[in-house]
Amino acid sequence: MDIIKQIQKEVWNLKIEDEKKLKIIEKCGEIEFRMVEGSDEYLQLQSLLASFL
Amino acid sequence: MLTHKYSPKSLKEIYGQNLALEKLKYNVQHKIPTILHGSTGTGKTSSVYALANELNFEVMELNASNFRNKDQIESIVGAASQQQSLFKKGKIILLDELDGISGTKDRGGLQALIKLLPKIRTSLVLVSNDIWDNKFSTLRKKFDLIEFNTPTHEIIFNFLKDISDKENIKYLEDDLKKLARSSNGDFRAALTDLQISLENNGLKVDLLSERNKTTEIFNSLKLIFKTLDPKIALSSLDNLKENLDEVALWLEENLPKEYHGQDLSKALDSLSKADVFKGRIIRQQYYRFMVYQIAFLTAGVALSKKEKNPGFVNYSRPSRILKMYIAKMRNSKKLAISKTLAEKTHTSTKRVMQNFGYYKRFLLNKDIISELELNEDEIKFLRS
Repeated sequence: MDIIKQIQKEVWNLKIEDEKKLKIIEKCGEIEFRMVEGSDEYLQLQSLLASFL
Repeated sequence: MLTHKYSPKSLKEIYGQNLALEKLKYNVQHKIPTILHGSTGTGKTSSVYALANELNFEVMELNASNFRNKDQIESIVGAASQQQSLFKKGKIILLDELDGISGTKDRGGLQALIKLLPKIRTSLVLVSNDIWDNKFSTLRKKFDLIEFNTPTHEIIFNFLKDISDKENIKYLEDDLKKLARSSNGDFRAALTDLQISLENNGLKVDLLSERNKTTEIFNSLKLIFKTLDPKIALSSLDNLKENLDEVALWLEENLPKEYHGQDLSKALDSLSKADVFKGRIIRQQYYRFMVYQIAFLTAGVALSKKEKNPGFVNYSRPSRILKMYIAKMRNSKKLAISKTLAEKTHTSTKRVMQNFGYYKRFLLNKDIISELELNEDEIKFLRS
């Protein structure tokens, strides 16, 4: 959970296209939602990181 | 954000209020309770912070985001005014946005404050836009009033010029003059306008026409609609009183005026995503989702466009709430009739509502009217 917090804070400082930043934020939100719903944090984090590729 | 970067650190950085500042400094040092008043964006709140910085005082601020009812005033102001500051030399208690203090939420707040007054041992500063409001009449007698003048165009112009120099912005003096004039003596508005007319370190002032005194939400909307930098968009809501739902309504109302075609659909998509997270906040009671809600409301909408719309747009108040209200009023008569009818006929109100068109045909029969005891309004509604 803390990792997600950090990610969505730092995203805006990255040197990538702004649209991609927004996509990442969206994905973060989705993953965090799933975590709050009670799914496995480790698995969800994997999926988040994989989506950045 | 320029408005953050150039919030004044010392009294010298506040433009055009020399007299008021001297008096403020004296009052704070001698712990005379003070009210600062003057129109928006003249530097009232900023000067309190600047002064605190200069004197190495601590500022305790209570603004509109706190409820300021009797209990809270007593517990917070009361306690704080008795205690010394832990790390700084002194303490200023600042009640900002005093105009918002009345109403049901803050009941008794002003009276509590007046009662506390003799006991307070720190400096107390109140900030208000319109001190001549009736509700402040007792307050006016107990406090020392300091007025902040609305600055002239030249003062604002000098202010903008200094900042442009510091920021290495290339500008034409005429452009800055235009900005200064359209700000109507509001430093914050002037700075916001400067920010949005920036383009690659140059200034492009064609999008601004005369503004009438804007409320803060206008500034936020303008920042969101006219910037392509997500960071600026993200911070646009920082100082806003309105809640996010209201911002969403404003955005929704004014989106079609700014964006067209693909951009519009993207922006609406972003709005709807923000709404999804709002729903999740409410359902889960998990307020961290607000980060995402804000991100979609601001950066999402801002980045939906490919380029700025250069024209000036007059933003309007959201009309959806009004429309919903009108529809509800219209429906209320139907609902009332249905309820009485449902009671007499032993059906559910819902079913009567569904088949209202059918019932309506024989409801105007005299016997039925007297049986249901319908009133004039309801009969009129049935006839129409």
